[in-house]
Amino acid sequence: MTRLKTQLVKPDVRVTPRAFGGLLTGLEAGPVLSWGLLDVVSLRLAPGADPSKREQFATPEEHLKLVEVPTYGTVVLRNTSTDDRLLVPMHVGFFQPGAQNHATSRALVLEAGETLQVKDCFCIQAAQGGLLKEAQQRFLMLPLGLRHAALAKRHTEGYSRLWGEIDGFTRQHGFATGGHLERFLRPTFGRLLPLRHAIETIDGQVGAAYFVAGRLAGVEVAPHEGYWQELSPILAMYCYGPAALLAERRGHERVSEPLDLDGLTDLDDLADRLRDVRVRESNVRADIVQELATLFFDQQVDEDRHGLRVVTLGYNPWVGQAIRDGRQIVYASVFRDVVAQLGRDGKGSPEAK
Amino acid sequence: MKTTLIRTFLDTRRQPLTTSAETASLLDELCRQAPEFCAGVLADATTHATQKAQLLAGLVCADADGQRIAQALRRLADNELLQVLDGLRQRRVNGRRARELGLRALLGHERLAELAANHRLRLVRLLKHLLGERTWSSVRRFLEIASPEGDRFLHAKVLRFAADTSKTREALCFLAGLGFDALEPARRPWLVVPWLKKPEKAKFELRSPALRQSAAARRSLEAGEGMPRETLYGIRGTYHRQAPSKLVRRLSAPQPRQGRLDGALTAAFKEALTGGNGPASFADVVAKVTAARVPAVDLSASVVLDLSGSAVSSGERLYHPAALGLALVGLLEQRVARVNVFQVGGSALLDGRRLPRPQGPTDLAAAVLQAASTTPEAILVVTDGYENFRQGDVAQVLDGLGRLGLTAAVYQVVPVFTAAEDLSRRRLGENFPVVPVDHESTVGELTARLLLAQEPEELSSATLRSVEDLLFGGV
Repeated sequence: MTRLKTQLVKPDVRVTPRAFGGLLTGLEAGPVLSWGLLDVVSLRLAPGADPSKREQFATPEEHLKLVEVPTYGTVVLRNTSTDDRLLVPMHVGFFQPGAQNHATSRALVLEAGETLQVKDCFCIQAAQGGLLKEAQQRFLMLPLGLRHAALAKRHTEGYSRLWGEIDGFTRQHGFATGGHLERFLRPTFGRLLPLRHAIETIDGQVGAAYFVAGRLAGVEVAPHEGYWQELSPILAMYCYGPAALLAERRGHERVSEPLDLDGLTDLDDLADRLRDVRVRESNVRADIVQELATLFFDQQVDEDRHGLRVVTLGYNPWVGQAIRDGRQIVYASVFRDVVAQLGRDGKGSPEAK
Repeated sequence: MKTTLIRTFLDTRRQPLTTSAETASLLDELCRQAPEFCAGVLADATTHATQKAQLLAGLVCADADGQRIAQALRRLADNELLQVLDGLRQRRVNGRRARELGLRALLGHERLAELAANHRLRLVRLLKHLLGERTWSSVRRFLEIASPEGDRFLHAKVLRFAADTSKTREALCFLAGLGFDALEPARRPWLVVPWLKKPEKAKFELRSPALRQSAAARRSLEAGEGMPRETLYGIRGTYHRQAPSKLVRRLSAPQPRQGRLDGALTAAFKEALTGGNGPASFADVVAKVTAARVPAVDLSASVVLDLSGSAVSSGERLYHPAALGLALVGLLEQRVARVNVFQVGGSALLDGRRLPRPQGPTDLAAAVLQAASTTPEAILVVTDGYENFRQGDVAQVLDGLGRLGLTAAVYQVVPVFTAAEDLSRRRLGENFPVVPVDHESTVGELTARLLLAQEPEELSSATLRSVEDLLFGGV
């Protein structure tokens, strides 16, 4: 028997329960995690919300298979689950060294076992010819700076139509130009990878709101916890991570209230002050998320498939898509290119508006 | 001697000497105050080679046993040994004691033939420095032309340091350029006396396989098949300039990727976490692997153990931070009388019936606060450094503890996969040391740090010996 005396230390942040409305109805704010300029407010199902409908979706990493790329700009996807429908997240890409990489332009719904040909994908690798032959792929997500353009170009065809934006994106980050996303990913991989580890998932988490340099950049919601655990590292690394790196490159700093240490009396006082500052910061973040959730988004039905409705959302500068199962939103991704709106000298206002 | 001297040494010993100007003076002071400790450091794998070179130069003037220094040096890997010895040349240290220390380490080395075969130029440069150019020249001459006077000279100057005289003599012959056709010198003698005949050279044959192969490679590069790549590149640069470099790549010994060698306890935890061993508790795994209990040091330790989600890691590092962290706690439990663990994250309690799996966020600041409330002498924060629950809170909390007059020594212990991992972005704060740990054997250092944390400013010789045992005694 061990002689150890062990004590479990649980995060002690008693945030006022904040059940969201509007777009995030049925969800509530959980702990805030941060790494560098990226702050992430975790989203969980609110008490009383019915999780049963959300559970019946296959997870992408396990069940989404890239079957083939018959021609540039077209990919064939298959849901390998024989029981559950699969929601393919927006702007998911398939990355394979030495082959032509593609990314989708919108959220997709696949029935159990369905094989779907999607013709409005983007080639994200301009410099190297060749097509994917096998499905030894892994996921990526288009960086935040490209997603606005990618969404605007859905339902159109032309494999090279994102190359111009990729060229501008890599140039912003100070890398070689061209419509070749790998030229950005390869040199920055070492700085993006820690985000995968640092942005951990919380028990019961089904989504998150991402803040870059103190400004809300996007909200992502998955159907259930297992789905989120697969999606979260990809979003942190490939989508919101690059925006945080760009903000850092432009001289922005982390927006965080320092712990007031003046006139400390004892350890309990220090613990109270730590708790208070954390609660304050969490509440401020949750307020900002609530403002976004209750915006009157312009909603445009994209398609109805297998009993689910894909809608495209807009409220300048916010855009995104959501998938509804009846009245319940089971998937959502709403974002804005927050770094483009921040000043270049790092003196932009940090408040989220 | 001052306790802070050893503490500072432990904090800086992994860094190259050039990173801090104060390190050189610290090492010199350490040599003066604790020469036997420094002799032990020479064989330590964790201390950076540049620091060992500085220590060796310092030990030349210190009162330390030469035999022990030579033994410590001979335990080093070939490259590191030559780097450390070369420190004497770079610092222009070549007095009698430096010569004796250097030659004893080198010529008494049991693998001298291999060293000579693979690093001939570096060895010759060292011998020239230790012996002096003229003496080395005489050694070469007496090796080439045998005579009783020559033998006496060789014995007095070099062979008395040898473990095996005949083998050392052969290696010296190779180093002197005998047994193979050395290149003609670029500069011709300025005065040639045609009627003055040189004495007949003795016919010399190499017997050591390593030396024979190295000599053969100088005649034909193909004969060097299986030799180290850098040696073959060196031979090619001097003797076979036309040979393509791809030939060297083909001929050279395959350089197998150095796989990780986990300690027994780390490996057992990895296996248990990946599910290969079925359900097991922390205590079960520790008891199964560590049979003999070492005597516990009468200390109390507070450990903040990070078992948050990031401790899973990914790829070839899967579960490495968690397994190594658990192993360190398991070993500390054996070595230290009282261990209080403040667990952050994890699916279960460490002292429960199931092994905790990493999960959840990393609230280290709250854990440090709770650890501090037990007023320990030292707090070890075993974490991968991904503090995400308001990043920076640990540093602010420690600042607050300082203002409250709580001065426990705090160490951030980072389980790393390779010693070269960049931890600059994973430092919890600037005001306390980071101890990267790539193997569970580092538990000795952690115990030594705990021991030093409760020592008064003046370190007793008994404690110094204990620290030495903990640092260099292995697990």
